[in-house]
Amino acid sequence: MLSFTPAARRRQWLGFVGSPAVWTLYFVAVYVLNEAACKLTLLGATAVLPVATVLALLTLAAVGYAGWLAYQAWREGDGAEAEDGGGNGRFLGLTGLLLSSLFALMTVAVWVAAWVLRPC
Amino acid sequence: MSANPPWPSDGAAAPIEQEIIPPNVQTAHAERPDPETAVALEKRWADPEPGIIGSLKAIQNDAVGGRIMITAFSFFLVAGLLALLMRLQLIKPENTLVGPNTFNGLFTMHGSTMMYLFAVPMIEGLAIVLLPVLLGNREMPFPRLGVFSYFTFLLGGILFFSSYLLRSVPDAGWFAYAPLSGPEFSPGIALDYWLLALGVAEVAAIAAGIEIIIAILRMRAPGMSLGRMPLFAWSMLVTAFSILFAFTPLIIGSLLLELDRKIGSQFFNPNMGGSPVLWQHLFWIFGHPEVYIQFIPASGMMAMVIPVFARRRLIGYPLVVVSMVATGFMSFLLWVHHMFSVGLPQVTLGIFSAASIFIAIPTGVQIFAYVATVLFGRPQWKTAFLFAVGFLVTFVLGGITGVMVGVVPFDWQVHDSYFVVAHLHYVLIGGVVFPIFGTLYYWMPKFTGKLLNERLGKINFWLMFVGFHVAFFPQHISGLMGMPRRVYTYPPGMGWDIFNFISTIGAFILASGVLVFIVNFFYSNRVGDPTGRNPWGADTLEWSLPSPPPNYGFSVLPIIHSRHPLWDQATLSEGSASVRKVVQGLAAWPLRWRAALITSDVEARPVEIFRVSEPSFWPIVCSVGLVTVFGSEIFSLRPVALLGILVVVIGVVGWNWPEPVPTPMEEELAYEEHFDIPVRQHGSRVVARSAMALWLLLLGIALTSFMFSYFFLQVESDVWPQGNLPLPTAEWVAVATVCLLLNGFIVRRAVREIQDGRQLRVRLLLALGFVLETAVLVLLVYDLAQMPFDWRTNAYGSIFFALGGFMLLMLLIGLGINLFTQFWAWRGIYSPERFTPIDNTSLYWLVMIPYWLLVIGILYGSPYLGA
Repeated sequence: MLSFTPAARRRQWLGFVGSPAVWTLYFVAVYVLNEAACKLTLLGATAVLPVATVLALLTLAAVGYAGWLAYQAWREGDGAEAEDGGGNGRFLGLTGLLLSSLFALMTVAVWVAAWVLRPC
Repeated sequence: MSANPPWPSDGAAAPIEQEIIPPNVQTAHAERPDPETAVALEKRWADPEPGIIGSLKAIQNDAVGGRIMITAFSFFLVAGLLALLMRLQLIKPENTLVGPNTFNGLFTMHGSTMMYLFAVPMIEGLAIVLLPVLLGNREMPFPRLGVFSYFTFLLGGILFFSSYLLRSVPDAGWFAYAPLSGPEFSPGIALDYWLLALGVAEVAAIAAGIEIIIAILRMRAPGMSLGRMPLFAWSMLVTAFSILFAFTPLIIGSLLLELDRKIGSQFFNPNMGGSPVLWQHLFWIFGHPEVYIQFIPASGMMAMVIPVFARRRLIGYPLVVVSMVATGFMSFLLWVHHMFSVGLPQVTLGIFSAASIFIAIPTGVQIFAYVATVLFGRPQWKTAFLFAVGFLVTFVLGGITGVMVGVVPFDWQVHDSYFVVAHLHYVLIGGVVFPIFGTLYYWMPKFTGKLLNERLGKINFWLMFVGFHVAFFPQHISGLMGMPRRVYTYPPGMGWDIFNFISTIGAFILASGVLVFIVNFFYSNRVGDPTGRNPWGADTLEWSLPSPPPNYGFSVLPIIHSRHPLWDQATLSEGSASVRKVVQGLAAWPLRWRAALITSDVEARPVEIFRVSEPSFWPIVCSVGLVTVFGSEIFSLRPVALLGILVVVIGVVGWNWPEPVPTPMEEELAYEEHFDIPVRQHGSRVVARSAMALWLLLLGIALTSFMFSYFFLQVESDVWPQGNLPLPTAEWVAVATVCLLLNGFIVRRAVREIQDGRQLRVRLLLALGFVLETAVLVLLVYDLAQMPFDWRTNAYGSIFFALGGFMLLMLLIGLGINLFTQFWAWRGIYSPERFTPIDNTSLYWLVMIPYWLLVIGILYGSPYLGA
């Protein structure tokens, strides 16, 4: 039966839910940024694209990190399943990698909206 | 991976022709206990007494889940009848069957009932019945919470429909937009019914969601790692988390609207700085995920049905899991697509449009996986499978129109037209109702021991499928021709007549299909032969048990080595010596209390054996108290509401009152030593800890909803604080903050002391903590009382007191928790081995620190930022 150390389990979970969670925060941040930029004098509409770009790059880095954790979990899973078989130990790593790829794409999609549209 | 594992792999790639599972495959069955043990187990797990009292105390998951399903289905029938009335009214132009007010009530009650009282409870009920046997365990982690959820849902539903008796039927739509739903335009009690009766039903949904999460993550059969979990369980895991995150903002939104209606707050009153758009945000932050809360589990159900009838393993299992999780996250970031016509900035429209269209990717992955499985399988066209195909066809059509309305200009064109009515019914009937009927045909043997009649089933399916498309396809056309939704009649000559006529005919054909289902249910139960253990030759664990399963579920818990244990494993008892020892041991001991197994979250290794709650009357007391609070508030009967609160408090105390331990401690220790696994007769530490974590998460979500409302109103205002009110000063709350930080240190210390066995110190520390916590509460109350404004002054005052009031409520709950823990600490029931309540009290108060800092930072800091 599979047995992971607490650290390995943490890596698996972070690699698995990390990228969608970070993307969610990024999406909300861009939404709030845009709403605020259109209403507040503190932050002009011209600030939306550069700030959204910085946020997008940070998010891509975080999603990439989650993907890296998932990759590590995937590799560790190979060793963990000595008596188990069937790719079972690699499952969270594999799905984490897939989620990271999808949410990297989603990050770019949201950033493109800030790029091509006028904020207000 | 070892070269030759002693059991088959998880369906690793093999030539397609070898993948077909013969329909008459011999599948493994659950190991049976010896007759004497079986009798003892059955007696232990059966519900307590016959008669009404016994029935009310029943906590067995089959009973609770079954009741939820039957009640939800009854609401479905009532809401369906309301829909038929609407269709009759619209069968011809200028019809006078019902008037405009009645019609408003009809569509409000129909939509609200289907969304709140049918779909979500039905799915949760199904999960409560199935999960223990599907996951290879014995019960849900909180049987009493299930009972509480059921009665709260039932009483909330009855309360909602009692509005007909007083002719105060809610009539502002299932979304109750402010200001239409506010005190000015809906002055009676109809909208209070909507807000409060449905509010209580939402509490029920959250309660069930909490136990579903813990059951899935911590109560699986040994070896059932996350990669081997049935997809229905995966879908319910995503759904239950979504329920927590979606229903909470709605409850907070409903609370704010009710405060506007009852005590004169100004959240949604634009004349006093409020914003009706805030209601739309709070509602749709719930409302859009709600669609996926229904669709994801329905997709999970189909992921169980399709492989069984296609006779092959599902293609792309990991991709389906990925897409369910991705859909769950993305569903929370689409809400603004219901508000495209409100007048929002372009980039806001752009990002929400992008997310709305991109969600087609994960949804499409699920559909492609199902279609590919059918394509490469050898389908058996049973009724359950027909419903699965009906789901694929209909949901894809609804999905396509969904992508269309995700495009902003198109949405502007069809907004509030019958096109949207057609779209949402394609998604909800195709994507949810068809799967529910399909799974009823599939799993009925596990509920009643009888198969539903196939001939009637096919008539049932074709009537529903044809009736549905006849009813709703024409609505696309009438919508594109400009027919608005929610109108009680229409003039002739608009070109809509024929489409409405066809729609009404279709609706009656659809309804006749539902009628055939009911006939089939009673007919099959009356004359059908008892079915065997696994009539479909299916692959998952519930089919290894007799139909219906015994009350205790599995006597010997199965050991899992595959995603499809019944197709891949010759027996369910092979495994490593240590795991075999645990499951064999649990089969024989204990027989004097309800024992179940906790496993680790990822790999499902046995972690502890714990005692599941015994039957109790207290959850019903809590339900009655809670519904009394909500119900009496409809009529502004404050003393009765206070009485209800008292009943809830008494109920909670009774519910959590420690029960006598049935087995001597020596026996427990001997078992622990022999089988090398902790035993928790007093209740599981893992379950209690997880429940507290989820409860704190729930409070955090509610707090976030308040904070969102605060910042939304601040951004929308020209001046902040509104009305040039003075800026708040924070001297008293600064003192309170010091007290709270000190308390955090003290409660943490109490945990260490109990681990070292120092009882007196624990008691004194908890008492000192109580004093400090009370001081925090009093200081906050004092500070709020000093404010030169109140909640009626303007929207700033309303949100200030709402956020402060919510913090007070959290502090009060914490005080109650401390008091309860302290009472038992002074009675000496805690020990270095048994101290979970102290640990949980400590966790609660530690988490209160960041929550407090957020609240205080916002209330006393953000006004300095201005508008």
